Amino acid sequence: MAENIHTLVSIELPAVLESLPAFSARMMECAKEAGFKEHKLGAMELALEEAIVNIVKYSSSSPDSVITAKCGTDNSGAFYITIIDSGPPFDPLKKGAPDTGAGIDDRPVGGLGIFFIKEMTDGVTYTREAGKNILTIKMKR
Amino acid sequence: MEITKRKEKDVAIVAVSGRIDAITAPDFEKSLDELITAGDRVILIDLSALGYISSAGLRSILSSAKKLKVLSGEILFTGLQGPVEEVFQISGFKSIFKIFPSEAEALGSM
Repeated sequence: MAENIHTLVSIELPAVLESLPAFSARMMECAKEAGFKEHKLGAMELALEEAIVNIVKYSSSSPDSVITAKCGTDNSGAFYITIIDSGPPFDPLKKGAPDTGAGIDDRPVGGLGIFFIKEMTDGVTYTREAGKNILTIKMKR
Repeated sequence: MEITKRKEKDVAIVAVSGRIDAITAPDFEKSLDELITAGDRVILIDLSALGYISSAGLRSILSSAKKLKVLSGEILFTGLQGPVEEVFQISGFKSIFKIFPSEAEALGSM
């Protein structure tokens, strides 16, 4: 699905939690300019946060490592956010779904982030290319 | 994120507005922890002015709920709406927590 994406904005920031507001602001601005409404923006913002938090948490990155986020559209008008990092290979989509029916005692704290990305968007793909993890989130109009 | 706390009967009412994301969630959890440490056992969280919550926020809520459960306490919710309600729905939180349509109904159930 990645071939025909026309990139609108691309930003690169340090792979730290503090970069989250800037990533979020730029990508949401981009989605707004592409004509997306409030409801879809909320879902996209959530998916973006979960993806970035995941990289910051698990990539055991060196202090100078960065994350790149790109937004773009394809010919059908669908919107894409692509998140790229140079950490060790890590496919978050391989993670199993949480048991959302478990009670307070049995329910582990955490493990919902990737599940949200899958549930709130219209598709997510992972590829490993040239030493980089590439996660692409799709949102239909 | 802004947090307002007050007490009604034996219930600590926590109204949270703005956003609970990965950056603000630790402060939110700290706020709940302070209540638990101070001896509060029933915490009613009012989400009516909350515009955004991510998995980091749910993590804080679940973590506090587990601490309270050990102490025979609990967390209740009111004011569930919009995107926050959707996140509660998808995560299953809507079925594991007691959720009330209004503060009065939550207090009345005590």
